[in-house]
Amino acid sequence: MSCRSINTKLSNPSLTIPSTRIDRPQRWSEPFGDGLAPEQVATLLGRDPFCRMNPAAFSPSLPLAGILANDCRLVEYQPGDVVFRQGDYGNSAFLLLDGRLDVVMGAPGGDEEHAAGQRTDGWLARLQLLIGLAQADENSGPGLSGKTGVRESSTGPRMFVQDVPAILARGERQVLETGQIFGELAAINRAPRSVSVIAAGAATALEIRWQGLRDLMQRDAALRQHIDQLYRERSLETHLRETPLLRGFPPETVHLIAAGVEFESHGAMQWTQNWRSTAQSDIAGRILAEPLIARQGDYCESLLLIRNGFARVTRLHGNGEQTIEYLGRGGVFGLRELVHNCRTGEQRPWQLSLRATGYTDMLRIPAGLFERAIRPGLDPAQLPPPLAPLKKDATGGSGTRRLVGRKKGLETGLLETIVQQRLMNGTEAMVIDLNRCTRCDDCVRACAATHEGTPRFLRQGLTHGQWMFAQACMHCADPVCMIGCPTGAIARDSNRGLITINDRTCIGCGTCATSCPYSNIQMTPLMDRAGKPVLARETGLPVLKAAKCDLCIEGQGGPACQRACPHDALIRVDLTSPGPLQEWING
Amino acid sequence: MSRLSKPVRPISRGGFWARRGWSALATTGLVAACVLGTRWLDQRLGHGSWLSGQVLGAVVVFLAGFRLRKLFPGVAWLGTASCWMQLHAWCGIAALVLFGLHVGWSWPNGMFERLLAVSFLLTGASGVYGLVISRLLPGRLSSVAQQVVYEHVPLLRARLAAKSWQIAGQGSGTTLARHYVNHVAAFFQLPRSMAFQLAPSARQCKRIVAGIRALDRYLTEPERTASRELMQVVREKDDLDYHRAIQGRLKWWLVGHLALTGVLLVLATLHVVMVVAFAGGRG
Repeated sequence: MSCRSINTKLSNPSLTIPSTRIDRPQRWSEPFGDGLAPEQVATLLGRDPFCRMNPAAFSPSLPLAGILANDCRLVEYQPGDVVFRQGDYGNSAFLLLDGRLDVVMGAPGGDEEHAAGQRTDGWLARLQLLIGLAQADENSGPGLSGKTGVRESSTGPRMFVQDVPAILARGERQVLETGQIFGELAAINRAPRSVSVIAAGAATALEIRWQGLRDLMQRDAALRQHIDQLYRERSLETHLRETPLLRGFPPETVHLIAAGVEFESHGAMQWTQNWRSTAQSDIAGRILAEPLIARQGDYCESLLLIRNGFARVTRLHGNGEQTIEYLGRGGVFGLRELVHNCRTGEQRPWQLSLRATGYTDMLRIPAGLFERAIRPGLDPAQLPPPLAPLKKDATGGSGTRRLVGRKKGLETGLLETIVQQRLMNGTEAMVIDLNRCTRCDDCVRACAATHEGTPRFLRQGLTHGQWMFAQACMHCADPVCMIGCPTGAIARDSNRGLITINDRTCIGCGTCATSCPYSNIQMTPLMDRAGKPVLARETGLPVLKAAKCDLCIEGQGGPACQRACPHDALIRVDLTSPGPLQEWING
Repeated sequence: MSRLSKPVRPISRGGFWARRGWSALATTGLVAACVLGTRWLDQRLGHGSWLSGQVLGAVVVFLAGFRLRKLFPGVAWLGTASCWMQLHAWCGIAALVLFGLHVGWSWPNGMFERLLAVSFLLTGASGVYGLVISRLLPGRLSSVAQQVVYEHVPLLRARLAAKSWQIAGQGSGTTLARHYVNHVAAFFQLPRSMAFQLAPSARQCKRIVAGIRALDRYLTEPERTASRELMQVVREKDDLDYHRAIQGRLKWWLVGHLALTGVLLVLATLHVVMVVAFAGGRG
């Protein structure tokens, strides 16, 4: 957000709106869509799975009928309609009530190939683009490369594909029958849709927004188990195969592991709600307040894999806990202890503790299963080193001993700042080395020059020692800014995974700016060619648009800010694991 | 999370050292080639200064081109500013050597040539000064607790002045308020001295804080609380002034360097015109 934009807003008297009094917004002040009529709710309550739910298990403030009436909507699909596309982000799950839908798997022309085909990083690709041999593909997404169009529906504009049989004939597909739930994983985990779903014929589905799904799962154990089972059936093996530890394992072994894995969730999914208020409080107390997943010194009975979210690795230090590392999606905890115990026959406990920061989804692999299925397949060269031997005291018992030898990592204070401020959510965080930065503002000017004169970040922000985490969109792993965007204007770019805002569909509601926990999205007045703010016809107020760093996605050569820094003081870096920042700092 | 193809960008500062190494090597090679070339020409009764002058001219134009590169940040093929900076620094040093070679390591005789030489040396000296302060001063800035944007300083200063005024007015007595008006208000209202701008120090801040502390035994309890707040605001103001002085030096240095470069380019162009006009068919 530019100072200019801020100044414009401050100096514009038309923006001084007299305060008004409104009722405090409630959970169901804004129902999903138009909500459901009582008779529709009654019909749904008679259908599976709602008929098997116990209404008494729901609290009076959140009754089952209320969830159905306010967190659900009925959606009718015509032949060819796209329910959702692979790579899209969605906030809702679906229950197919009538008809049939087809799941188009992303195998042919899948994500990796699709992206590789559009790669514009290499000089050859750039040359091809330049001379017109290749063109940037505005394809609707993998698995849906047919001709598409948009038509109006009861829930707004909806994409459709024209040649459904051709798409269905291409590659792998599955059929969803009446009564099946789908799209639940993306809704719960804020992950991209892993497949595309299209309607081959007319169909009706119940769309449940994620808040409703979450409450249903909390109150109904059967639904929760069903969703877990769906995950186990549909995505667990894929997820396990993508985990670095299990990459290259034969399918039958992965299948065996998937059958024995246990699911766990720690922390609150809505971590942003109370995070701001606690971010400045005492660090020691905040660490202890984080949900404990594994305690140092306890029996090491399983290997922990992080499915979603982040976790803090700590060790006891004096009377408190010291942050050693943080783990993100795909992170593994307990490997060293388990390998050591398998090798030596000892029963060494957890050497460190693991705590959930925000919301953490875990997969727990029991030690027996690890020993049976995983350890034999691990490359001996990549196994962690054995634990330090226990020192014997004069009586022959185990005395004080060194804990796990620390890897040369980020300084503890910096690590704790990153974890505490949830900066590890950033995949493209802007880090400035203040010992090198001459405050010349070349980065800001470069950003402005590539964005019609308005820079998309502030060269200020959280600092720890010489490191500043500037206020620029971090293109988060868990992009909470995308939750609630009414038009889907803010979305993840399917090619590079960046969070981008479509100016044409942004209505300036400010939901994303409010949701961003880091205040990295600003509402800026839309300017005309003369540099004057565009006013809304009805209200006479400036039309606002959400603005944030787009990492110069349309340009070549990477973000202008980083390229413009003459002193190598600024970098856009992935903080989801400490490695890249560590690498940059250590040079 | 689905991240299909991350843009490939250097993370490691391995490239950091490589850039510096290659820049040093390239400019050293250029200077060595120029020295050998002029010597070779001089030994054959040619004009070595012609070659060194042409190379020097090209280097000066390249050095000035760094400014032009900043005008086109979105043009990928122009390379990164970091590469340019390294080449700029090394070519600047090379230019000083080439200049010595060009003038035969002696002071020029003519008035215009002297003016040109002074202009060149001042530009070079300002460049070296800039290089030094751009390495030293950022560390001093980052050691201050609060980081501020230079353009925000006047606003923040005004806020601190208002806050200090409000704090001084707190409490039941008038001792602190009177002390504030007589000894502290000027610190918040007036700009800092030129001496502070050139060599910022915490002397004045310490003196004011000591003055407030010495007042402590005359204050009422509410005033005592206010005086502690006031001391904190004085320190914040001093940090702000420190930032302004240091950042100002980093900014104004660049303005001076660019102005000197402009003068140098004009004089150098005139020099080239005169050399060509009075070459007498040589070259």
